[in-house]
Amino acid sequence: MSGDPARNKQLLEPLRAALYDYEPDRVQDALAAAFAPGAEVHLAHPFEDLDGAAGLYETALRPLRSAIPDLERRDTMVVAGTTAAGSEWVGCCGFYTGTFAGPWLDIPPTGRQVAMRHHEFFRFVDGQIVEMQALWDIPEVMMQAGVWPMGPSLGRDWQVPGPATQDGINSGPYDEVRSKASLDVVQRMLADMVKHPQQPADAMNLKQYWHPKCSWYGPAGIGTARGIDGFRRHHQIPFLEALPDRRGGYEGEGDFWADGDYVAVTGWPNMAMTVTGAGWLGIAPTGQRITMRSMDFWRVENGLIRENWVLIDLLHVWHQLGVDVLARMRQLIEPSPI
Amino acid sequence: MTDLQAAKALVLDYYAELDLALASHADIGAVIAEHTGTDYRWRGMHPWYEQSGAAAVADEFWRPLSESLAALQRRQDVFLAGANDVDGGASTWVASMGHLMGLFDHRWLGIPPTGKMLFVRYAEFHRVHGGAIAETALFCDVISVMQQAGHYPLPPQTGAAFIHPGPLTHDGLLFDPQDPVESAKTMAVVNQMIGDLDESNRIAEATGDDRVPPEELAKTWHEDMIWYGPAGIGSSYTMLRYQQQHQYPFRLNLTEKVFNGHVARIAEGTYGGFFGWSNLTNTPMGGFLGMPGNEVRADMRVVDIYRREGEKLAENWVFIDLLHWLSMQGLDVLRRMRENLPGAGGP
Repeated sequence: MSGDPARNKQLLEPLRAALYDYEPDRVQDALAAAFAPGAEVHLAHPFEDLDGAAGLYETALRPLRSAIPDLERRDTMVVAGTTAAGSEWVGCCGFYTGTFAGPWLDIPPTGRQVAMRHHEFFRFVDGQIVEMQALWDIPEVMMQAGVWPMGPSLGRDWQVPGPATQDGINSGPYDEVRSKASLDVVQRMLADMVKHPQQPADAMNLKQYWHPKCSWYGPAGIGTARGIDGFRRHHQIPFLEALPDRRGGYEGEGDFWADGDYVAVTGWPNMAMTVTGAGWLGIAPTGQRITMRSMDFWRVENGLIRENWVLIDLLHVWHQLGVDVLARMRQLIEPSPI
Repeated sequence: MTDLQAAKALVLDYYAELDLALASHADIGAVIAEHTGTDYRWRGMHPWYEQSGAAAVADEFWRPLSESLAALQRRQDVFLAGANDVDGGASTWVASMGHLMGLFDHRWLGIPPTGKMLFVRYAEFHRVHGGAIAETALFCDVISVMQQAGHYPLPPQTGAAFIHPGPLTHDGLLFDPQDPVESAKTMAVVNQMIGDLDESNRIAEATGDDRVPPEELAKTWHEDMIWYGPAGIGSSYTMLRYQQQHQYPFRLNLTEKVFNGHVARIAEGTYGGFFGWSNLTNTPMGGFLGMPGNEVRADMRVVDIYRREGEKLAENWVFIDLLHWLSMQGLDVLRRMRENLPGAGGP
């Protein structure tokens, strides 16, 4: 395998530490040191493409810190590896937290501690970040503020936990054998999963890959589903009924890598589909082609997937379907007439 | 001159017997048959749609309702009759609006019961002909029932959610004869309001601006109007807040809006109302109800009941068959709820 995942993790450490303490000057310095000039930065809708590390700071982080003066970024997982095509990635799962003291994206502050999950992926070339693909679970913040303007989730919306095994952050040497075995489980699982809906649900062989007590931690707006049955009911059945022609991601088109028991995928976007059936997100089919940014972490335990963290850029999905979720939120909370 | 009092008496007799039969689980079909014509035509909302004959109406709508709601009680807030303005007064219609209230003890349409009081908002229009009810349109608010039962299925409402009161003036039950001059005045204001809206649509078509200036609304509405909308949209108080919470989301997020006319439009005293089948056809652009846009021409079946005060309209109770409108776009809201209830059939 090319690349040095353990070293890339080390290179990311100063930035992670700066974001944890969040002193603005140190954050800016760490960003400038970690990112290559002209790095591509993709962040969830409505941020979209930002102008390198400086754009990330000015457009996204600085306003977030204005809203959350005691801002702190925590990771629950740091997963590094090299894809089959040779791309070197480090993926972080965790959350931003602090006191939600001022408005952010017009979301009204709660004056209380807030948590927003992040899935942030950094691609390294020659020891520098040349690309970032990141989702922030903005709907989760809207829900904590009581202003989520869209339909109820089928799953449970909560602050999803880190890995049950508490070993998502590992600074030891890269375990090539273990990593390959984990990646293999996830890729075989996905290869079977995409047989459905063309073939009956049995063709997915879900029990062969998923632990009976698996947890599927979906984005706020879909929620968490427990067990294979919960995953089927609260996410997969409505998802596939609405988007039967989904392709990408599950067909190995995203960037996949593994790190010990952990596997990650990213892509901007990494899926495409047509909204042809009803019910997913509680909406009518629009007949529209959309793309999706769906970024996952899996944890494999004794050859079975026991946990799966999933973020989907739902605001971007809604945006493509003609609904400006933030505008609808403003409409619902602003007392002043138009 | 049509005998409105006779028509009203006929419907009140029907209600007295029907309500008794509903509460006592007597033969509902027989009561309906006794008061309706042989080719009784019944229009309902999604999921009942059109039924014909007393037996079908009893079996599809009334008996299941009476089995789900114990000690069912009709709570009328508005009751009026009139010669139909749509056909030059040829037909006579009686309208009733209020709630069917009971203890929600058994599943209704798959909605899990609460064991508590449930208010089913309803509005009914009956055409009375030859001493019987010849046809009926019955609208009720199924989404409000889901809301009351804790299974509200849609994005949050732009308006407020509550059990709608009757008229501020508590004078909506027009059992007695009304001054025809007042009735004509109400009809005229309702028609002017409809005409103004039509004009607004034409202006919007020409200018591309769907916003109606408040001055336009002020021609026929009081500043402190109340718009009691269906669950999914909710209710709004004052003209400006109505524009913000319903009129603009509706006008700006639906396109190619066509008004198809009404089946019946009546007024009596200071009350008036209409229903259509379908009143409106439009295409969602995205945003209305928090739903995405698509290419579907979807129909809106609507009931409006009005209270006039002086020269203008003061209160407006509105029913829209949103479940039908969404079902035309391919979304079966009730099915989705049923499939996601705990204990629903396995995947």
